[in-house]
Amino acid sequence: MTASAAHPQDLRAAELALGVLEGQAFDEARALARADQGFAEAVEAWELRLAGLAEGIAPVAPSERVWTAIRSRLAQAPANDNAWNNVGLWRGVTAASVAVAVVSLGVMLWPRPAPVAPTTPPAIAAAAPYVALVSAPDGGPSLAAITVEADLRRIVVTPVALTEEQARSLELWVVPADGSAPRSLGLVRAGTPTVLKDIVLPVEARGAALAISREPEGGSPTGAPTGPILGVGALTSS
Amino acid sequence: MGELYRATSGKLNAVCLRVLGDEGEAEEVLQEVYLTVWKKAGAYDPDKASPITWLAAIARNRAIDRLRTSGARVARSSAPLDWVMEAADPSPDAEAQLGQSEDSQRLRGCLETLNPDHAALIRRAFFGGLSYSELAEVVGRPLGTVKTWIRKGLMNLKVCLES
Repeated sequence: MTASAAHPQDLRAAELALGVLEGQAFDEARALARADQGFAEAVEAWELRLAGLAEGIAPVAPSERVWTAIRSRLAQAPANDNAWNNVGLWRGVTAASVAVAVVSLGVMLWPRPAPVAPTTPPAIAAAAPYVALVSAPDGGPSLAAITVEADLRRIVVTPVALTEEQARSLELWVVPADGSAPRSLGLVRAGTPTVLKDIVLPVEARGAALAISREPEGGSPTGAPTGPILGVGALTSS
Repeated sequence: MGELYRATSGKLNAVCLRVLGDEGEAEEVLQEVYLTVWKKAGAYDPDKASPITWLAAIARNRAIDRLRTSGARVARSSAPLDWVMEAADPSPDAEAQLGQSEDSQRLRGCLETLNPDHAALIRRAFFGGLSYSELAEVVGRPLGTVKTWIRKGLMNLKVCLES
């Protein structure tokens, strides 16, 4: 296990990986993991550290029907699925070469749970305005109060504790609930409210989070957050 | 896939069973785990973990997700002192092909250096999928104490693992 510079939120990453966070602390940590690659990596590192515990327990053979079910579900996968190309990698693999097989496959390390299917159509979801309180990590101060108007196209960012010092360039991001990459909503001011117009928010706002990062003058040059995430807040219906 | 399954399914099934406490649920999650492993293209990184560690992490995550969806976690995880049995069972395992990774052995060694209360809580949280407040309820300690012990335990664990 390689030692690397610890993420400043490493303890929080450990708590998220262990699964002890709950409520708002859990939502915020998940949002941070989606917004901050370094934090996501810290969480993953902890998941792998802790997984050693699971290896310590004695095996219990599953019933035959599990393998039968897996085979039948694999057989139903569409033939043009990329995964089919990998089946060969699994075939004839001996236990000793499992490592090789897994490496060859290359698998997503941190499977996220499937997004919860929306229970109301977007049109209804959009009828209520949303609010988010973006706070510094670990119960730090609230940095900004954000209101998203009912049509999801206008956002008002009211600074609470954003300082000019932080404000080289503050950029507001929406972190979609489906785990896709954060999207920039625009730059915000530290001293006075900012109104962002003609915004296009993800259709399903519930479960999404808003985050503010510090970026170079003029905003992120890459379209993804490059500076530190100053705060994150879940978007909730008001 | 068959060989991989034969070599690892006993261990992963045990993980799911431990977390979920129900054979049927465990087997369903186990199916999902292997389908996930088979389908997802991504980045297993051999520098980060051995395959079995990585598979165990997926199995545990999936099982915890299932537990949370089913919403019955405290009831299931409150079997008294099951972690003591776990701690007392070094189980050098007959299924030696993959056995335990070096990382796993190291982790267990480091857990033994922790304050036993802290280590016990971490195990409890890991296998029970319990949140802080649920842990506090199950072990009958104040929430603040539980948080402090877990955090100290995790930090000391990291120091030990990286030393």
